[in-house]
Amino acid sequence: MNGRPATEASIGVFLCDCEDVGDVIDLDAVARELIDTEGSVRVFRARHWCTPAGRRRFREEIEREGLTAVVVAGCSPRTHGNLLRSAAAVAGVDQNCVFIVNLREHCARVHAGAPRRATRKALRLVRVGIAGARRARPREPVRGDVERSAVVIGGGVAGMTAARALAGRRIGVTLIEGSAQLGGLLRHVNSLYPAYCDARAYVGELEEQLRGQPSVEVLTESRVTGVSGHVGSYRLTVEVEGRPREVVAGCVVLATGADVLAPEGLFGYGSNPRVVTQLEFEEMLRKGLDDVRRLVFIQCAGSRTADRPYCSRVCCTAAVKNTMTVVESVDEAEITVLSRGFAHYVGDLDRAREAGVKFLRYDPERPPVVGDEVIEAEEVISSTRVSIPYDLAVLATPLVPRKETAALAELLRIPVDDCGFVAEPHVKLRPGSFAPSGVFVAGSVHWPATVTECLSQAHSAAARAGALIEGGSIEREPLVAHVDELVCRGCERCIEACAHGAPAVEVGEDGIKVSRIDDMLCVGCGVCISTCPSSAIELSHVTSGQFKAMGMAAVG
Amino acid sequence: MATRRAKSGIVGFLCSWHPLTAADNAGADGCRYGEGTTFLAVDCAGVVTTAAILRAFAGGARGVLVGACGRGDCHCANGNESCEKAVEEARTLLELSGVPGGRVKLDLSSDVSGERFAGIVREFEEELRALDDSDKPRAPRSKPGAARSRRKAAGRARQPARRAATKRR
Repeated sequence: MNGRPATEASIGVFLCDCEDVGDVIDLDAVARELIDTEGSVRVFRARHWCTPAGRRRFREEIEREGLTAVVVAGCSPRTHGNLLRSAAAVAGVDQNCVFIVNLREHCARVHAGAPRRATRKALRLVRVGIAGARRARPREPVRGDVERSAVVIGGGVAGMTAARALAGRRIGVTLIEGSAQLGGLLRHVNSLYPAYCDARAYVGELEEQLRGQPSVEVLTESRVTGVSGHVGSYRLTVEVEGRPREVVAGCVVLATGADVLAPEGLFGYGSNPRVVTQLEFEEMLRKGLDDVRRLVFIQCAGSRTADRPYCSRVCCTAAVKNTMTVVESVDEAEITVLSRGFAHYVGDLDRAREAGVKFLRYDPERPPVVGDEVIEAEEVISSTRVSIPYDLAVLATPLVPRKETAALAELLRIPVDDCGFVAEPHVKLRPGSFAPSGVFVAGSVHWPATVTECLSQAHSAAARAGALIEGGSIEREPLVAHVDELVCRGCERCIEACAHGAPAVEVGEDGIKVSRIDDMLCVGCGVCISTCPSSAIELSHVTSGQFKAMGMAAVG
Repeated sequence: MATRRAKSGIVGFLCSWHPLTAADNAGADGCRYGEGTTFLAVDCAGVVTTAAILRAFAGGARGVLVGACGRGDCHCANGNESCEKAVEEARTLLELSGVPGGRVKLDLSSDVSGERFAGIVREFEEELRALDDSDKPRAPRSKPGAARSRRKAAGRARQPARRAATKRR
């Protein structure tokens, strides 16, 4: 089960006499003790193994002694781990057979006041490394082919842009749109900030370009009902106008966008015909405003509340854009914007102010009250009450996750945040990288995004997807779990436990059920090992026996 | 196995993502904790099984520290939750065999502050010391004979732990 462990004679321990370590730990004693007790292990000393000269000697010693596994005891693997691993690889020792023992951060630095005890601990730490090295075996690479096609889910501006970019790289694209028409929310928008260009014309042009691409297939009135497979080879079950169909793709771009909240009951919306949402107002602007001169914009209508704590990000910009459109098209327009603080970052705010648009701030505890004739509001800074006569009140309602988002995210196994938008596992360390490699996200399905942001996200997703597909095949780090088929009894607990859908039960010719783990889906987290009642699963890079031996060495 | 001499103290299984970074930072910042600690790096806390924890005790560990990333922060989706279950199970089994569950400490945190990490280790050392003390038979409370037989019953397993604790002080 553990494969053939490296023979003991071929293990080398490289002690680093770096001042940080050597000042506290008596490395002479460690070396003596190792030579006395771990007879067959070769011990090497150097001031620094990380310097070019040190690494050269490191490689030479490995080659001269014919080492098959090495233990380097020095500083944290974070500092020079990769350097030493690649040096070892040059000398023919696989990185899985390189054990970096952290004598600096985990011993010398934390036990500087007790050198004798620190030395004892150092010996123990090195022995843990040796225990691992004794059972180490080289990694076996995990490779897979990549289909030369992509699926883009969502035919809004983000989805269409991603599809167009992929098609431009001559990659086959299947675009899946739920409604009958492409264009998404932008089909209802009047103009696009900051150029004030026609939004419909923009998406119309985009659609035309897309339909002109021979490698693009557009499926309208279709939805994804099932996803299987993995990066390089996804199989999506798509219901097209009621009929199921299978689509195979190397990767998936998710760009299903967001919905606009219908603020029933909020500020009289629904009962007062003079209260509309920003999106409805965009449609009105497109058709031309009649008899509307006095406008009040109410920002954060339904966002930044206990239920929806987030800022929808696009509404302030939309409000500025729309006030400017009104200022330029309606004579003697009186416009007031009631906000809770403005989140707008392009210059037209000043232009709007100069054009006479009033920006007032309201307190969410005492929101404006929309009456039949006037809107009563309390201005926060001066604490004055104002009554604003109005013809139309425009509510800036937030973008909210679509109903389908949660189900789609589950099918694609990507996480959803507290607000219901899909989220990267680590937005700061790896923005744009979602849990399964091969799934890319663009646009407001991720977070309320302006059109500019949708475009850059779409291009980013397409670039990543394109790079993956053009690679033709992928090799991934072989951090995967394996099932011993002779031990497995097919209880399927690993399937329940795995968050990545890697194990699947297969029935062999003899009718016996065994679990098999898909190398491409497994992330090597080891959750299945914990749940396996027969101990049939172990990691390929750290075998159970190896982990056990290291644990025993740690106990000392 | 359980009668082996306990000499090590704390075995720590640390996930390489946040907890190991915290341990590295503790060293970089020159924080202090006891020398009886040995940390093993794991790729994800998910590989920490109940068996691995129990084996450490069988080998003579005084305590096991498991460091996993904070809830919702697992790089592999649910390794931290799985290890939480393993820790719970290990505690139950330890309690059944007369070892206090407090000898296993789980730190689910994505805080990489070295100061905090060293604090957790020191806190655990304190807790283990208290457990070592409470393992000692309290002679004045009962008849001399009873104390002796209880001490006998407590077995040799706990004695070394006690010795280690007194030596430290």
